[in-house]
Amino acid sequence: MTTPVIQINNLQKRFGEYQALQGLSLSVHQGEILALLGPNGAGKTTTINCLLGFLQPDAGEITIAGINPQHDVVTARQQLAYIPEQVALYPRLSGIENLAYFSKMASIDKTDEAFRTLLSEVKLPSHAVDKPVATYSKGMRQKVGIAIALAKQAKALILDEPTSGLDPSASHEFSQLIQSLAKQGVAILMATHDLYRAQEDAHRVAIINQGQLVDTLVYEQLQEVQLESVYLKHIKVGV
Amino acid sequence: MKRLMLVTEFKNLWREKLVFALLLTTSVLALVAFLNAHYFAKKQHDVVLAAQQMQQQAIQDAKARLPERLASTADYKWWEDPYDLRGQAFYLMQNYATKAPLATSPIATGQADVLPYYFKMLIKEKQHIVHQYDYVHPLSLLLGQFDLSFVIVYLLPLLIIGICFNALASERQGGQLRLQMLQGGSATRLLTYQLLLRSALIVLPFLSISSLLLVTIREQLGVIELLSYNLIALCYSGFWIALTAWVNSRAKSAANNAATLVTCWLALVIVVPALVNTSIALLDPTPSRIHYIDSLRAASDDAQKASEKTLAQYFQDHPELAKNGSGASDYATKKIATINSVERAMEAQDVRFLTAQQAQQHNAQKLQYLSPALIAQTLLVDLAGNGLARHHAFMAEVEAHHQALQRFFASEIAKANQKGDFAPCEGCSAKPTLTDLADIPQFNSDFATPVNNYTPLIWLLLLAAGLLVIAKRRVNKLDSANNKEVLVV
Amino acid sequence: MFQTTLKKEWLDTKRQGQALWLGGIAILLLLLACLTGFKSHQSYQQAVTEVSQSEQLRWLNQGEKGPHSAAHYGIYVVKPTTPLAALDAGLQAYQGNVLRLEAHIRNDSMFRSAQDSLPMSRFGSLSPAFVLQVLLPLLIILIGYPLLAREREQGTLKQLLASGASPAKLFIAKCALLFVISCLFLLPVALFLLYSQVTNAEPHTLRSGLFLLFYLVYLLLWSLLTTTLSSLLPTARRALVALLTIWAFTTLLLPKLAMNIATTIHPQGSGQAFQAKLESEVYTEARVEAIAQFKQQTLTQYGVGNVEDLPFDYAGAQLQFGEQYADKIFDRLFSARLAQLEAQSQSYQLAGMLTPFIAIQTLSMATAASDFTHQQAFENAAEQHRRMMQEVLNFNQRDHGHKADGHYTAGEELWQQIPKFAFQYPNFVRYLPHYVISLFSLSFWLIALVLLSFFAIKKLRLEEQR
Repeated sequence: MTTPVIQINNLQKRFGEYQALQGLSLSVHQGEILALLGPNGAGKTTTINCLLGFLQPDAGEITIAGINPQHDVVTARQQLAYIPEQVALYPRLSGIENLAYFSKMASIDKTDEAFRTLLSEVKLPSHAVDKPVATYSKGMRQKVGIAIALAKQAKALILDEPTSGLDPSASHEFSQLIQSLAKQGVAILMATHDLYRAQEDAHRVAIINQGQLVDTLVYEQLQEVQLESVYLKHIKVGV
Repeated sequence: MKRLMLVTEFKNLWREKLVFALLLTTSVLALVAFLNAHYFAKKQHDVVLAAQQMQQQAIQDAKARLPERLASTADYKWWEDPYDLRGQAFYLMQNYATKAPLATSPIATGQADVLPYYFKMLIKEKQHIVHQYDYVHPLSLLLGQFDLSFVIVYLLPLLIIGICFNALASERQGGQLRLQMLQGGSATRLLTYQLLLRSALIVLPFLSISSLLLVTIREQLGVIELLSYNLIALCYSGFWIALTAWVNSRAKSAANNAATLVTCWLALVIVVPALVNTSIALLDPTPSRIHYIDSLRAASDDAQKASEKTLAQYFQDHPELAKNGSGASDYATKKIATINSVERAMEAQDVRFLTAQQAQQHNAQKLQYLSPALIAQTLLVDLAGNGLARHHAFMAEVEAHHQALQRFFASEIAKANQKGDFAPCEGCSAKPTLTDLADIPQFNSDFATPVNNYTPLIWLLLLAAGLLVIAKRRVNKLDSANNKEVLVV
Repeated sequence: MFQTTLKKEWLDTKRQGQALWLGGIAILLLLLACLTGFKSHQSYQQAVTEVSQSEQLRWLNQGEKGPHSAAHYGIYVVKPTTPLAALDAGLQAYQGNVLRLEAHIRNDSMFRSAQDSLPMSRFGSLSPAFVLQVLLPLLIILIGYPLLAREREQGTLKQLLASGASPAKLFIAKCALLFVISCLFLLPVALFLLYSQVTNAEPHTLRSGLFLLFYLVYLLLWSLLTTTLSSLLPTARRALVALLTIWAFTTLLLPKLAMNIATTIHPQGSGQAFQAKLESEVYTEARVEAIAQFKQQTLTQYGVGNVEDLPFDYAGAQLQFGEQYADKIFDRLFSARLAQLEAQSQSYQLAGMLTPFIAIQTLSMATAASDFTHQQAFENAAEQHRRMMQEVLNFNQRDHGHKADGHYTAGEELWQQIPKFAFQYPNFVRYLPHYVISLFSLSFWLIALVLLSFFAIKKLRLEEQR
């Protein structure tokens, strides 16, 4: 097996009295989609913040494509892309302008044509490309977010609740995009509450509770089990 | 990167329709403020010119009518006779001391609307001359002129606050900051470019339009004055930009930033100056002008009552006027002696006012450091030549002129008196004793204006630099890991 | 409802801290302003009493001299103030408070204390009127901007309305809260007015009452405006920015601009030109002729050929004729100048339709008797006194001058015939016509904002249905 793109080893993080992560270990390989499941407060967001370099873990180690964000946050960030639940774009700029701006921030200079191609690749309706983002639906914003990730040619993509609030068809379209990204070799970590999408899209599912990994289900297992019952079992155990 | 961020920021502002609105506002403010203050200065300039013309006209008229007067044997009353020294001295003289506004005047009207800028000189007590003033609506004095300094000191900070209060805060709250940081951007850079661009949109159009107007319409304006004007305005605006940077760096909500910045503005531009003024007045109260009147009255009474003694004293001080001693105690000499004595008696009173003002000025120079607005206003008013420094120089020149006039008339009247020109024979009218009015001393309007002191600007720059250092440190923290302000929530 | 809202907002405010701090500072500033205002009013009033007294004594003890010499000697009169001037000194510093009354000349008032001040003083000093007119509205804004807007942002507004709270009651409760808080600041002022009512020999009940009333209306205006915008605008941030912009425009920019425009559209010649006109229009050939004609007329009337044969002293009669001749010219020139200045006042008041600040400023100075109109009342009364003085002195010369051998002199008996100048401001009702525009604009603002509040309440109701 290849070396994982995202590697988390024995991660610990404490907020005052509260132990948010207690020795979490995870890895995501090239071309793999890992769904991170867990109840609110399980440590999903803390994990993501550590990965993005917004939080300094107390102990443990993270590498993204071999780079530790604790040591070199700038290079580490160059390796990854992040799509939150609400993609934060400039509402008065158009989709293409946002894409161009955020890409150029990451020193990725493409032609206008190239940016347009990217947006059509993520299936942003062509009539919307030059309209201000303020007029976009949530799904359209996410597409711009994915385009930004594509432009960056990130090795790892981190998604936070990507499908919540999307209508079923938008959600379906989104999962297709994710799948195609994975096929291109991107390692994808997707924190979600959406058990259906996790079961459908993920190659592996990691369930965490109280800052610890409680179970991992690989692709084959996912085809056989009822994910919901497994999840509930683990969470109840945790309570 | 720099260009990219500036262009994007500009696009954002442009689409918010802010750029045009700001350009329009600042241009209109610059234009209205300049024109208003320019016309105010022009009006004063016209008055000064009219006074000088009247003075010249009187000299010309007297010259033209002299032959007629010399040939005439009619009965002239001395107080109506322009060729009589006494008539000129006490009633008829057209002699003005004037302070014309400088080319920089529209920058700050300052006290120019309150302080007298021309005096019609006569031989009378100095105290009666220097309190003349231009009668205007007192409300317009209370409210002050709408000039460039008003825009710079009061409005530019408000505009800077208005457009900068949500810099960074809106990106932070909206999440764009996070995305930018993941793409390799930094909060420090974002805030820097946002503040630079936004404040430049306010300050630069204002300064360029007002400078252009100053250069084209106020023709005598020098390069140094123009540079000083821009320097003061830039330093003062720089302070406010640094303050917004500091407030933005605290990473609070945009509404919180706005409230904090407005409170700062209110404190520094409105409340502290008012408190400073109140404490200056409490520390060294100006003596009462009402009591001053009382003293003036008493002094005049005393001098009148002791007029013979006053005259004797006067001749003791001015022996050259008492040559031959005979017939010297005529009305005019006695009057000048009385005036002299009143002035001397009032000297202590005048000094009291001057001392109080100097003490106030001394405190003001120290207390101005409490508010950048006070510093900027003081510097602008001095640059415009409408402050106390130039006024004191003017008043010193007026005093000297007043003395010169008194000396001239005292000695000429004494001479004429000794020659018996005022009563050549029983029943015949006086001889012309002043044939050329140009002999009367004329006011030197080219009095030296003191050099302005720019050291307080250093304080402004230090304040701004200090705020920027703190702000930079705080924003740098935003860029480092473990900062809850940029976390994914 | 009111109590609940009050309690909730009080807790909110207390936790916010900022508003409480600002309120504390504002009340301190107000107390300090009241103190310094009272002190300067007291010392001014004392100076007026003392100097008026010593002027009167000086006049009476001027000794034996000709009546016309006494007329030239003249007298200085000082403008008194009302106790309300301690709260709003108005234009006191910008107009002369002393007037010299003498023969032949109508003087302008002298000694404007602003002339003795530093340029810095133009930033204004701390006075109760300044705190009430400028700072208090800002405090209302800073406390009131989130009242409804933040509830909307947090979603609690919808919840409140959904649970059956009446939009009107909610709105009124919030506005009332704001108004009550701002009225707390009027308390020191009201106490001062009460104190001066009790201690003053001539209480100014009407003026004090109106003074308070006008400020109550003004604070209500700002409370209404703040609540309305907080209710109409979607976010607290926008409400704050809008309110602050309105504040800066109405209290800072517009008044100055309005007066600058007023002086431009009703321009006034320079003081130098006016003085030159006074001299050139009085001492003309026409005057010489008029005096000659008067002399001829008098001679004809008494059927004599020589002034020495008249049954009185002609010099006195001619002096009085000269005074009356000049007075007519003074009347014309001074009223032309005054008309221009009055026009400026009226234009400025008209701008009160754009900002309630102008209305309250005008009415506050008016009730405190520290404005231009009251200054004119003083100057007119002084001029009447001057004319009366000249008449008494000239007629005395006319009636007694011829009886003396040589130079006629009068004494204290004559000086006593001229009463002491004791000016008191007439009842305020008599001045009301000067302030119609301001009264109208204050009412206009009140009505407009009440209507706007109705609109805001209606919108709240719609929000409930959404």
